[in-house]
Amino acid sequence: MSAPSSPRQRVLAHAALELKLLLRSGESLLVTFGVPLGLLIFFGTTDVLPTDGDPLTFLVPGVVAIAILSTGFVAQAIQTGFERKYGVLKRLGASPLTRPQFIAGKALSVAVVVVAQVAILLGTALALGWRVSFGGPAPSSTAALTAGGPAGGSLGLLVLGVLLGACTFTALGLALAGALRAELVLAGSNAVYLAMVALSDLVFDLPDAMTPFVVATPSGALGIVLRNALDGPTDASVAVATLVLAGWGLLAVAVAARTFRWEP
Amino acid sequence: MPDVAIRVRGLVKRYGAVTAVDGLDLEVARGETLAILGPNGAGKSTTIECCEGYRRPDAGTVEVLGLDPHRDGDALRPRIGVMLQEGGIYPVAYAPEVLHLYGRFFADPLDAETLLQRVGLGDARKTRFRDLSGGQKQRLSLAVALIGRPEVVFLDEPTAGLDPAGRRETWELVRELQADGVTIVLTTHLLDEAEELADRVAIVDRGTVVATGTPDELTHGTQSDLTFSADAGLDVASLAGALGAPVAEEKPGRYRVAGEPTPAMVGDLGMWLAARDAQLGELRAGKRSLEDVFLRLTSEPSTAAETRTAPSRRRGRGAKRGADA
Repeated sequence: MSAPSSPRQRVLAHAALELKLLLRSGESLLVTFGVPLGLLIFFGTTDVLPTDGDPLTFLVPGVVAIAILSTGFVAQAIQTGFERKYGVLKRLGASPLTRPQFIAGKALSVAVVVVAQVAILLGTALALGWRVSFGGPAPSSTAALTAGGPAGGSLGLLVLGVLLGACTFTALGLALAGALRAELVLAGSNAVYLAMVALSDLVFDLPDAMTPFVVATPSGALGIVLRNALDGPTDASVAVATLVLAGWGLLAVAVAARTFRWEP
Repeated sequence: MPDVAIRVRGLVKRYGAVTAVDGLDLEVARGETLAILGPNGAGKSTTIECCEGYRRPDAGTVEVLGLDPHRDGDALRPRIGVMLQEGGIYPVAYAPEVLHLYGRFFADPLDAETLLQRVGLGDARKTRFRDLSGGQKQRLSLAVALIGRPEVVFLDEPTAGLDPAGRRETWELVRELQADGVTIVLTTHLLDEAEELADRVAIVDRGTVVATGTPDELTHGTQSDLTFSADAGLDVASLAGALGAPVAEEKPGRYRVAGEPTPAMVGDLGMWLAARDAQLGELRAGKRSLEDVFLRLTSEPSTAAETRTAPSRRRGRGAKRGADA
């Protein structure tokens, strides 16, 4: 009589192939690693950004946010959208891999890529002369959040921001992938990506009047959380930004749970 | 329960206003191979997908290995193998990767390398799924269905799009499964495939089973007759008198004699035609082919037949079984 393997083995097997296929796709690599790294190197070594002080200080939180946006949202939306189109999701649905395990496998592959991105981006920034100091109280506590983040950045807030951002943008990507045709997902996710990058203070320093709008977008909120984590307090409240980011995540999960179609 | 692998009772499945399956009953014994035959849109795939757990029945019950595919899906899925019409495989993945992935879902899978060889994909391991030929895709899809040593296998049109050689290879694999005691449910358009592989055939039309039995049972019995083609417009009343059985011209030049086709009757027919200097085209006597049975069952009543895409009147190549002239 046939029996399934352990849940852990099933999740790991799925995550491993997801990761392999993501790394095999040139477009995915370009959007997940190429674009953020290119932005960092280009704007970090030239002086075209109209910022006060070191452009890297402004740039690093932004490119980390873009990297998370690329991996969680764009790459996952497109990959999952086409998996649905080609019946891969349907076929997996008849295998011992349960839906929670399927999502766990995706999450794991996103986590691996995001950790690699953050390491590469921060390493490159350091090589370019970026300086960061993680002082202040121990992370993870909400006290640090409500206090607006310790000056000089917080490693705990960085971990929280990366984690929450990855979850939220992956959920947004899956919500898109499960509802629209794969071709629309491809076009739509790239359009939304560009809009989110342009309108969220990540690379372009937007006028202060736009701050309320920036905080309300998931990308802007992530940017603010990361800016607090890597640089220090911002005009906008990090607590509000964190809640906005989490709110987008919950909304995306709720939408995906209602609209996600597993079949072509 | 141990003897019945699949039991479907009064299955109803609707999509909006369309009733795809309408009170269908089916039973498959353990180790048996059942072929579900039917025109497009008859409800074959919907029935299979209810057994696989993809669809929740609107009415009726489905049991596979004693489990409800929907409610007990987590317990059932490790024990079944599924081959979808769509393939359902990552386009940029290589065959060994896909087999390893599915293999790792099981505690005791078949060896992926051996299976790859067995389905004839040993030379295609460096080809992405999207670049495989149609036949190779089908065979990889079959291998994925088999890697977990399933007790029940569902094959939805396993040889669609294959050339004759590819079909024979797939048939060989199915026969190996049969020898291992695996229960198999397959849908097909191909009547010879059903005759080759199935222990039992269920003919499905408009959402219900209209006939079921072994291929021999379906083609035997009271259904012997004699068909022939000749000049159109022969005097069927006169011929009926000569043969002592009713004769109908079903289409211009195509005749059916509803009676036991004895050698004497064939002789009488020959003499009758000779007397009128009529040209005899094709002559077939004896039991009907499964195709005849299928076409007869799925094209009545004629009122509904017009609106469907049933292969209703293509009988030019019907002389596969029985005595050909």
